[in-house]
Amino acid sequence: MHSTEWSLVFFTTISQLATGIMLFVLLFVFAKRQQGGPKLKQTALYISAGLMFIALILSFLHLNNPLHSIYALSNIGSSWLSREILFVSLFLFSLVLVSLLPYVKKPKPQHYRALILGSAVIGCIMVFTMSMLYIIPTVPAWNSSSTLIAFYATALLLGSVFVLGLSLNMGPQETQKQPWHPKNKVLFTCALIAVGIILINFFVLRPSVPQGNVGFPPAPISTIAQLLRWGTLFLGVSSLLFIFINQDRLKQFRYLYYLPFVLLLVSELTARAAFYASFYNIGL
Amino acid sequence: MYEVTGGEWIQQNDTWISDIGAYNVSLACNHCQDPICMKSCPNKALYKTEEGIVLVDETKCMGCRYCEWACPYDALALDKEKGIMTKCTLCYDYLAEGKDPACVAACPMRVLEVGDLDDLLKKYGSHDNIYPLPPAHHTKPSLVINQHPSAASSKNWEIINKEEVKNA
Repeated sequence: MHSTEWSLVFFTTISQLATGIMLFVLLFVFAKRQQGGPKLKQTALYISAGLMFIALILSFLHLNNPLHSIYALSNIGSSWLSREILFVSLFLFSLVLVSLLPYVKKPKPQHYRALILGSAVIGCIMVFTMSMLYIIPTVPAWNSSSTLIAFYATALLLGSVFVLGLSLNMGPQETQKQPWHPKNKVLFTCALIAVGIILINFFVLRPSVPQGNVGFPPAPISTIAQLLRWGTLFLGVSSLLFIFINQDRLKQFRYLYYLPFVLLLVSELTARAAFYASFYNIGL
Repeated sequence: MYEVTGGEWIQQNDTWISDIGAYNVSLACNHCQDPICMKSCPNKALYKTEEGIVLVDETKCMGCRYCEWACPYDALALDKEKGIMTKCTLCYDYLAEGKDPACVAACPMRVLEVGDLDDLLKKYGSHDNIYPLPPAHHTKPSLVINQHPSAASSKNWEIINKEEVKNA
């Protein structure tokens, strides 16, 4: 993998995490009759906006001539990269808007909820454009729906586990006190579904051998990278189950609720690095 | 210049017979009729001249390397000093002066030729799917190959000067 692609590993994973957070915070934004909880919403919005700001900076690190990025929206008609840049910008703008609007002018609750929903939808479209730019007919390892599924699965997994950590730490009183509260159950179930999708996507749906000549086949992924990816995925899921089973005993150590997120983030970053390392062209 | 070799020794009764082959493929940009690099470029920094030559607009390229990912002929490379992509220009300035491109003029074996694509197709036919070329339907390259006899056979072909061409 080329050294500059590390910026893309972090850029894509972080922006998908921000999308996932926005999706799952909707559970709390549209909830009725909950005691407390604004801290969770505000924190989630600020973190998403911060993550997208970092992601935008990282995306510039990938460019060798950033000053010419003023032309980056010139080819919306045929370049998925142009479309991705457009939606990354729109998503960041929408996140800054929903984060700062209450300080400028307090909006009506229904309008504010609609803005947050709109921001989550823009995030989902951004992940779609981000996936499509890698689905290149001349790059067999990426040219399949498996890329699209992998990117959405990252958003689903990291978003649900992170918001679950927020819910147990600073959510409404009922989600903090009852680990098996319906909202927590939804987040927990979504995380497990995402892990299932990741496993099926990797072991069943990955692209097969290309049709045509390949001059430079890719090097196999290193054993250490594979161990790190699957090891942290296993530990992440195990810690998630452990926390839910032993929630009463862990009340003194509430920051442990973020442990599954940290482990799964490492797993997804390693998986994304392996995705870039799998690059090869058909032909030369 | 890609050096391609393949084949093996085959046993016939008590005799081992050589069934090996080798050939060279000289490639730069094929100035494709349907260039995937142009479609991919977010900045519209790649464009086609009236003569069909694909060029980089240095005032627009931001060096994102997306065109390099998409091109199945490895025709684009990053100019690290300028931070922009660079590629074969088919020596359009020489062509305008009625001269051959530098590669055509320099080739000691006179195996490279530049001209109207239809004329070259009539003269040589089209063998655009020899190893290691990609299927032509992806980009419709403006390329005609009068193939080496070895290239016609199906062997376990492999590029043997990978380090040389990748670091060129």
